[in-house]
Amino acid sequence: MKKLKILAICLFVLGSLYSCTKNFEETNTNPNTTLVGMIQPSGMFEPILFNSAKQWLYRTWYYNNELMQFTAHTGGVTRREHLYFLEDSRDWYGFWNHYSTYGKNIDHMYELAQEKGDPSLEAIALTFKVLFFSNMADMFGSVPYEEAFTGRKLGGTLTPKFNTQKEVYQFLFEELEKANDIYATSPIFLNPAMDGMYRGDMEAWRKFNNSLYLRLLCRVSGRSEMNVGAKMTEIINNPAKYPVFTDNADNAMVKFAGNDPYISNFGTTTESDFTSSGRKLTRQLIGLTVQTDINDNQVYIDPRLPVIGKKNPVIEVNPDNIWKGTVSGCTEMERSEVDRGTSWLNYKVFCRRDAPSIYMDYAEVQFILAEAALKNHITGGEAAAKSYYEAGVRASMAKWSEQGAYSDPAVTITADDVDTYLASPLGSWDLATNKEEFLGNQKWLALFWVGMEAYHEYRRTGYPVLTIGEGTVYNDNIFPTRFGYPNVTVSTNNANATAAIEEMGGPNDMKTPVWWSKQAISGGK
Amino acid sequence: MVYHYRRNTVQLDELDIDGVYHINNVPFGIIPDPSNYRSYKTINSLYGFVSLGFDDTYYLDITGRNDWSSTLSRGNWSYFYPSVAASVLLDQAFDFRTNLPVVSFAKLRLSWANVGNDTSPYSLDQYYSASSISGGYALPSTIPDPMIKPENVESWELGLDAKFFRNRLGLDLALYSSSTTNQIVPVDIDPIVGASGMKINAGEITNKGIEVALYATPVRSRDFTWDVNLNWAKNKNTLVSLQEGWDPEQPYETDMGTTIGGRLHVYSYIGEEMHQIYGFALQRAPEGSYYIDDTGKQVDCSGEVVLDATTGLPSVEKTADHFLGKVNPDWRGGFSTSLRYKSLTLSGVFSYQWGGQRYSVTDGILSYQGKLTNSLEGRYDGIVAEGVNIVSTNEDGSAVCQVNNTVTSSIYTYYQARVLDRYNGESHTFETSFLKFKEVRLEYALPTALIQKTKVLQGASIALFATNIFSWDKWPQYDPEGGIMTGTNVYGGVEAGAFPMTRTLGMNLRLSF
Repeated sequence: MKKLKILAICLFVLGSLYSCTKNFEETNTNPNTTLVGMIQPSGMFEPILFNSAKQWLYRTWYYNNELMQFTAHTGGVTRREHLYFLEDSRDWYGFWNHYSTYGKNIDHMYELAQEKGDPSLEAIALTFKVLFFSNMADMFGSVPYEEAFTGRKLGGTLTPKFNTQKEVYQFLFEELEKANDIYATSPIFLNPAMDGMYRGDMEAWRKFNNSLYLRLLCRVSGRSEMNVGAKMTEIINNPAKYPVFTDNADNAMVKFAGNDPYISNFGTTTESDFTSSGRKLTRQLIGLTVQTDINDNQVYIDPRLPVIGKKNPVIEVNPDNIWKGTVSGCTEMERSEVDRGTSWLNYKVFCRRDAPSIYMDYAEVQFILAEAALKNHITGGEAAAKSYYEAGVRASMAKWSEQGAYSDPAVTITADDVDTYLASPLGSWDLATNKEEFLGNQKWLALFWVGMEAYHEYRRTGYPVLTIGEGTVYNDNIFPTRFGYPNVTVSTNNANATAAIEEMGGPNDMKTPVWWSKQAISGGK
Repeated sequence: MVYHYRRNTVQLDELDIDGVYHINNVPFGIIPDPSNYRSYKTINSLYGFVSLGFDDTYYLDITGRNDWSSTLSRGNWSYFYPSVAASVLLDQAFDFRTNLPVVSFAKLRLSWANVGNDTSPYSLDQYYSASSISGGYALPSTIPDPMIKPENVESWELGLDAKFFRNRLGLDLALYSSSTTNQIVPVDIDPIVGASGMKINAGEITNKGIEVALYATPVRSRDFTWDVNLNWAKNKNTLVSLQEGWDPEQPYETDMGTTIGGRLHVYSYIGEEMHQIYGFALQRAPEGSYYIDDTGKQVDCSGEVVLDATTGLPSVEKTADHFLGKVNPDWRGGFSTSLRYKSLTLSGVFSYQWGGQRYSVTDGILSYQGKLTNSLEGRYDGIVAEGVNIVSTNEDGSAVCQVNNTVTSSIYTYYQARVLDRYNGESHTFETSFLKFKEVRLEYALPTALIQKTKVLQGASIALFATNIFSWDKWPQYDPEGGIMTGTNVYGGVEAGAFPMTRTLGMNLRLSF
């Protein structure tokens, strides 16, 4: 018998059908955090200031010191930055993401400040923007600027076009002027306790802004079309309109209270992780800070050296208790030999919970002016250059003297010590034969522990003359001229990235020079 | 249905007294870091099904379901997904019992099914991420898509289940094709646009495949039985399209747990099979390159390793865009058999897989540290590596070469930084094809007469067995099936620290009551 059987039929409801979508929007509102746009601009300020200051320390230690041969991580085979083993992800992407992440938060703080009417943070956001974008362009060359950070906004783009480094600098100069004008109106920083750098002192922020202006002008001074002399002259001749740092108290220095979460980057790092197991001082650094006699005895040392460094305390490897540096870029074969008895970074000074982080200091301003005078971008000639130089050294010595208090034993650098230094073959302007090189070397020393500045400056001036070790095979024994665009940039924004690389004279590696560099200028690029 | 999730944690970065674990054991200057997360989600559903049978031969099942999910936006939050499954017993319909007695059973089935899916709560808006600094905020690291649509998986399956010769031979055949549309996936974006990730509806992904299972009992008598089982499956996974506006040149990247620091990517290109491995490789002579051999003949050498004429060393091209292989195997299967003679049974299980590659971190690390024998050759005198030196480059990019005869200047650099460099994906990506003898077992069932005497036992047997007897493969370290395990996810494209296969030899006593 053929028949149709209905085996089962069923209809049921899970949940409520009567009001299928009632309260859906409320249910799907995140109860854990705040919607973007609903906060005051000050909510963005502290994470930007403190976290980027920590990152600054980390990057100066991890990259700048190694590339610039202040230190060399010769222990083990996993850290090979001094051999130019730098690539995508950790290194290229690391920097790109660092600048981008802070950049977007700064951009957002600017938006909020404009929207909610907070001119002090509006100006500060601009100053920070210049700090981050100039560094990003210095590291990579052309970068997205005009269309950056628009991906999260209406009508924005996920494939921003790149601006050349020159364009970026021109934009940044405009932003510095704009910020300076806002500072001139003496806006009020609403909660000064929040400001771990200047305690809400807007005049100090203004000095930082304009000192940064000098830094950027100096960076592009090799490009005659930028005509930096005129602007530099205008700045130093108009301290009322363009106040800059006048002493160390003005330094753009983030102070960490030392209590959680205001703990400095290396506040909980051990000596072994920080220096002794890997990052040793180099011959380059010892060579420029220690004076030896014809018998190779160490007769005089730069007073800053015992603050930033520490002699190897192990008597078996350093029986004469001397300053010794390892060879940056050494090969595997040389390693155990050159590494023996080498000096370390001064753990006591750097690995404190309240160790400060510096974006820019007064000494750098003096070095910028010394070079400008020497090269006749500003008036005064060599005599002025010498006096700016000496002021720069005094500032640098005073800055480190303050930190020397934490050294064991404590180190103080007196005015007399500086006089001695300025008269010694290490520090005497008059004894130096090549003034430009001398100034470059001295600036290198003064820029120790200040972000990536020494790395940028070396590519601009070629000083100090570095010895590129035989072991630097990972970039074919060529000093890294820039960092490459990370894979995510090249793959998700291919057309624009490719155009930028071509415009710079590519390829996307660490051999293509950046626009303001000595290599690009002398190569006619 | 209402989902309610709550997570409360308090984290201490340091303890005051070591080894004492409670949240008050916090040193001076350290603030406990609390985190409180709760989420709510509502899904309301209407579900119905009808199941019909005709003449005990034809069957039809129809289902329909509509969901409303709070995680999606108005206009997207309602989605319907039906299914229809039909089957027919061919042996009944055509009366095989009389017409075709070799066929003992045959069933043909065809089904079409859809499954819809929503996303996680709070995926539509931009929310700040918290900072360890109180009152501090940062922008989120992902850009949400407020108009994100629900996922849908549509699948077709045609199957045949047939038994012959009184169930002595059986066949189960399935052909399927499924298409996932609007799959909600995270993708990496350039942080310069304002975030480092994004959730998108990923166009369409299809899976097409065939599965065959055969089982047979070639011999069956009172004392002796021989059973054989065989199965074989092939699947092809294709990325058909991505979201609208996606640059077709741009690959979609699948998370494999790691990218070895951006040195290895598993990409899928639109229109192609998914999960292709890209990474670093040695520099090779470009297309059209040639050298002149001893007899004056021009020999093509494009694709050969380029070695430096003075150092004899190759160089690693450090762009992760060299094709190294594909993750998905071409096919896989298994084979098992058992032989019974009276109370004694001998059985074995094999499995196999063909095609498919994987990058081995284990091999990379052991190799570049010189812990394997693959860096022995030339240890004392260096070697003349096989390859060519570039003499000059032509305008079209091809090169005029010569056969390399330079001894490596540094055998250490040759292996450690070049050929066996742990990031040189080319050297550490291997075939995952294998044939494994998974298990062998010899079992003796105790005589029933003996068992019955106990009055308690229903049956008893004793067996000797061994697992993972051998694996025949080209995989260098341990297990060709090993991947990365992170939490509950196993990632197939990269192996890192996978465990070796373990062989078990054992004896097994089985009593049933």
